[in-house]
Amino acid sequence: MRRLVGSLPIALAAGLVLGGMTHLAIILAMPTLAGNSAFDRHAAALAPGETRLLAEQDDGSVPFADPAVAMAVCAFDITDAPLRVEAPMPEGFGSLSVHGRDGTVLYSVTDRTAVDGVVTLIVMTRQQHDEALATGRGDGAGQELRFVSPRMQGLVVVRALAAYPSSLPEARERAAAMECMGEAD
Amino acid sequence: MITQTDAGKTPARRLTRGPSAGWYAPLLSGPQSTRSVPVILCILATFAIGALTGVMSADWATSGRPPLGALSIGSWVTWPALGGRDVDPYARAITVRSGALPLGTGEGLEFLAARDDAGRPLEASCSYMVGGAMPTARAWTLTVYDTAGRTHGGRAGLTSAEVLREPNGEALIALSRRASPGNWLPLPPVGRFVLALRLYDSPQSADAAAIEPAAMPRIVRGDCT
Repeated sequence: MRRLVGSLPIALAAGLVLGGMTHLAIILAMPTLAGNSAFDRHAAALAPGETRLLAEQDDGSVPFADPAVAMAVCAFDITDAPLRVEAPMPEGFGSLSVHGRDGTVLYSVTDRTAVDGVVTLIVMTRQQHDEALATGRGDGAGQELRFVSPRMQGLVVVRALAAYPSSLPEARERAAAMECMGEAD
Repeated sequence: MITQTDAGKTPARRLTRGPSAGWYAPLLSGPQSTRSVPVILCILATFAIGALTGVMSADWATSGRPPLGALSIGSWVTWPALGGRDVDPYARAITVRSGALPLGTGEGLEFLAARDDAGRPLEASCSYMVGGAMPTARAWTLTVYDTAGRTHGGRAGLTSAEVLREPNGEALIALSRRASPGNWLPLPPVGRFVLALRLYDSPQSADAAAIEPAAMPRIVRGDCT
């Protein structure tokens, strides 16, 4: 019995060390294991190139979403080909962001980068970027943004602010008009 | 003959006696066997403690707001790294777990407040005045959420375009359960609530730490019922 009591602190200490390791493993593995991420929720329901308007935020699909902002998403996988996004911007404020599958915001711009009211963004890998430069397909460089993504999969999110509640339908329409397409080689 | 038999017996006796008092004897003998039970118990306890503390602490650390990298300006809190690539593993785990789509640094800046300027939690049973200075931004929105991040009713937020302003250009917004004239946002029926202030296209978003507390709107509590 004395032995049992004597070894309890050792068991406790070893257990806490093991707990610390488990804790770190769970935290680091969560981006790949969590089934509730924005990517998992939306990408599964989206066909390639399909843009989906996120529901009114009352349903809680995106916690802490701004009710004055219409959001639309499309999913991408640039393993085979770059993604071309054309997002028409609303009157007031609009923005575009690229989110990695692991929840990281990889890139974000406002409508200040729009040309004729449309933000054009090419999401590509480093290799695709180099190939595009080598083959001279850089003619549209002034019209489009090129983003070299460190992640193969993710979401493109467009936000359109409705300055007044009455302009929300228009903002939603504008957000839903985002086009995501695989760029043909 | 006698010496031969003696010589023959001795090794035989050694052979039979040897193993019975050999290496595995402690496992068979009475007083020693109770020692292996504590060893197994201790190993089991170690694994149980490890699994329990590991899972529970990971759950606790990822169920609320990011524990690291918070920047407090007055009553308002923001997580500047959340909108960029150098986000810490805890914030990333929280983002993924909650399914949130954080605002990018290039888009704007998001502040949350769960306390008033006196440090008291925001209660739906009280009324509040929010307003005063506002950091530079092309547009801002102020939104009331419950603690889970849901809005209640059709009118949860105000935008910078629709607020009525004082003669000096400042906006004062009343928060209460009872409707009031002017800029008013309803509060949830019960419990605590959270305020979100979003600055869209703000020049401050790249350097949020430079914002002075005096440049942020005040949150002043009024009457409580």
